[in-house]
Amino acid sequence: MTAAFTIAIKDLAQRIRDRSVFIIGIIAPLALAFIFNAIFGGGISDVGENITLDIGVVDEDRGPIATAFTEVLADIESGGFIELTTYPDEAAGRVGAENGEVGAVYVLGPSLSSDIISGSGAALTVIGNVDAPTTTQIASSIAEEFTLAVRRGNTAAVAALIAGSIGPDELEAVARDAGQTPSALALGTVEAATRQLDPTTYFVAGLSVFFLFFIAGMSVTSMLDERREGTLGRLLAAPISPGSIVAGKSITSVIIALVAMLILVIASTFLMGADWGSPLGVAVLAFAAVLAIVAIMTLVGGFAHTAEQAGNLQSIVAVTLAMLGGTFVPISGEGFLSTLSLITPNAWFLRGLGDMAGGSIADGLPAFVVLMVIAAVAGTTGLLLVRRSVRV
Amino acid sequence: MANLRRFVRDRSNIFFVFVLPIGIVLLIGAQFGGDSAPQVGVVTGPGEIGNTIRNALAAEPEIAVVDYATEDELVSAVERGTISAGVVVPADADAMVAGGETGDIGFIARPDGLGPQLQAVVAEAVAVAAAQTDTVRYVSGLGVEAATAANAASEAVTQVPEIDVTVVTAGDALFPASLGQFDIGASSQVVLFMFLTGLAGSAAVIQTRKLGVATRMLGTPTSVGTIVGGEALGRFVIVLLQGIYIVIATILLFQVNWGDPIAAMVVLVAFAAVGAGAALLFGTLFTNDQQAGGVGVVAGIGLAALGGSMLPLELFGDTMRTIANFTPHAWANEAFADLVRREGTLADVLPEVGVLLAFAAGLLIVATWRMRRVLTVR
Repeated sequence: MTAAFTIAIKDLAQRIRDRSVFIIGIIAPLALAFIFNAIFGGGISDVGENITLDIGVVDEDRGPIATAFTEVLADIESGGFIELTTYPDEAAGRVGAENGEVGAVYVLGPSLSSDIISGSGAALTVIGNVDAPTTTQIASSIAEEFTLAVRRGNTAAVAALIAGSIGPDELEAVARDAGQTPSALALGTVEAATRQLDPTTYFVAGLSVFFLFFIAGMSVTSMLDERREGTLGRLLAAPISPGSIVAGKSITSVIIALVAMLILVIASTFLMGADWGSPLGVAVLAFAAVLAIVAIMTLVGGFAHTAEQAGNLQSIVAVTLAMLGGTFVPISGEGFLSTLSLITPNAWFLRGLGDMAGGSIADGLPAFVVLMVIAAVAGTTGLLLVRRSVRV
Repeated sequence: MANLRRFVRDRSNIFFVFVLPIGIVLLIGAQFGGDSAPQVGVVTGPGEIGNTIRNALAAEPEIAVVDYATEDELVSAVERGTISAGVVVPADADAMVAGGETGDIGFIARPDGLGPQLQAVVAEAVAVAAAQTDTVRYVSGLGVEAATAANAASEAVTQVPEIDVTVVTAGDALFPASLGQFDIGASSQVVLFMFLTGLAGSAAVIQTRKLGVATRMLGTPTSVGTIVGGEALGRFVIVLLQGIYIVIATILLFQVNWGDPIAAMVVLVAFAAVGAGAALLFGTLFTNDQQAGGVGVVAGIGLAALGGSMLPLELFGDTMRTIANFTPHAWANEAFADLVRREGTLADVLPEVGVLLAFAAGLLIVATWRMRRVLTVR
């Protein structure tokens, strides 16, 4: 084992002298995360942000129903979910929706209240901006919910009249009363925790892991390099077991990857305001991720005969896993892709961080276990494969 | 020629140049190109109320319904951001309502994102499910016998006219509705990968220098300009071939629309020249091909992101849009946007092509100057 550490220390010194490890391990992920964040920041992900939808209203009716509706809207606005803009007439409202000043505009026509009260058909119009389908959908649902309540009141009043319990002169008052009676179905909100990383942390974490693959891959490539240069033969001639050589190389990769990760976490926290969560949880999860990544890269490198081959195979695997794991294109929504992403350590690392962000360290346990299993399985197979390469 | 042969012999190039771009176009198309309506999860038993709510949600044009077996699964999907919000209809909802009690429907959302706003959509669905019961209950509450109340309610529903909520859309769509699922991804990725392949080619330039081939050539009556020209031509052909390959492959696989074929070809040629120029410049700036590789990946992906290859330029803020104009990618993306989204012709993309050629010329001039220095100053 002493030999393994001696080899590790020699390798560490060698790698530090070669500046590529800093470029690939630290500068590259930070620089890319910075660029991604500048472009996507808030645009692609709304994690951690409270959204306010811009909705306009044109009240040409000014009757009781229109007033009741604008009161409902004002109520929603005071909750911070929408921001209302009042337009003087339909033309102005249409312009507002057209140029995207608001996502949708309600047009309460001049005869809305009288039509509804007199029992003739009525219509309320929502003009939605073509690029704001979700705002338009929500605006239309707010209106639908309101009109359903109004109609419920009217229906109840007419039913009461049919049943003979009220007279025609009471219709309007009963309709209003029935419209305000609590429904048989109550909708209660359960607030869920946010187990997702904010965009900045997401990109930094994803890119860090992506570049860790390249650092991790160096354990196998450096051994194949030693074989090419003939130094491996000299190591084997010394009283050092092949296992110690492989162990030494792997230890080097694990140490460099852990140090790079530590620097990345600290640098991104201070430079970019990333929020990784509890330091202990991050440390434990990052350790598992590093082991899993070194194991996968050892396994992949085990199939190669030369350092170039190993490097190429490793790049292919690293890029593919990063793609599937959502490093470049965040994967959301229920579907095949989000299930597929769970074969990657990248996705598990991000999920573990997210789970801990919305809960406690214990919530990161499943991700930790999965990463350790990947590390154990890929690592054992990989070491067996690589031992074959430890020859002159 | 030697350059080309060296390129083809390395098999991993096949993956990065030919397989990966198509994979990414597929991924982006699947993630963003399709229906991007917010997903609402539903957990419901077999009852009438749950069914009505689920169907009412599914009927909404801009909402996608996803079914979950248990509340726990739904809650973690909301927490992890897989879906935007969820509804839980308890198994005993129908029994509760039939027994005259209140059925509690659970709406699950996070405080951030769109979740809180989606409550309105769910509330509408719940109101639909409750309408009939509420009317009967109200009339019974006035002292009318249950059966009579139910009959009166059924009749009243037919008499009271509905209040329509009419939705119309206004404004010009940022992206035309005719835009295919893979159209944006394909043109932006062709730009990203052509440049990346160009930069990866800088390793070959470094090798040519390191192996002393270039110095030896300089010993023969070959000028620095000729060496740079030859190296650049090799990179240019590779980058252009990749571009043409991606265009053809995406047409065949995903029916991507590239607009006017001649104009698209002109843009590809101009951008390939930029890629070749960048390869040469990188090849003269670095002495270690590993470093050049690392910086190349960052520069390739970073410039592509800045130039609108990851998020369409239309969605950029003003500052970022200005910065984008300093990347060749932005001009190439803009040219393809003219062709693909605005049905432009060759004349429409000439300004962008001009800028791209200027980029290429600038890069080559600086690269030649650098090459002369690194080859002669020893």
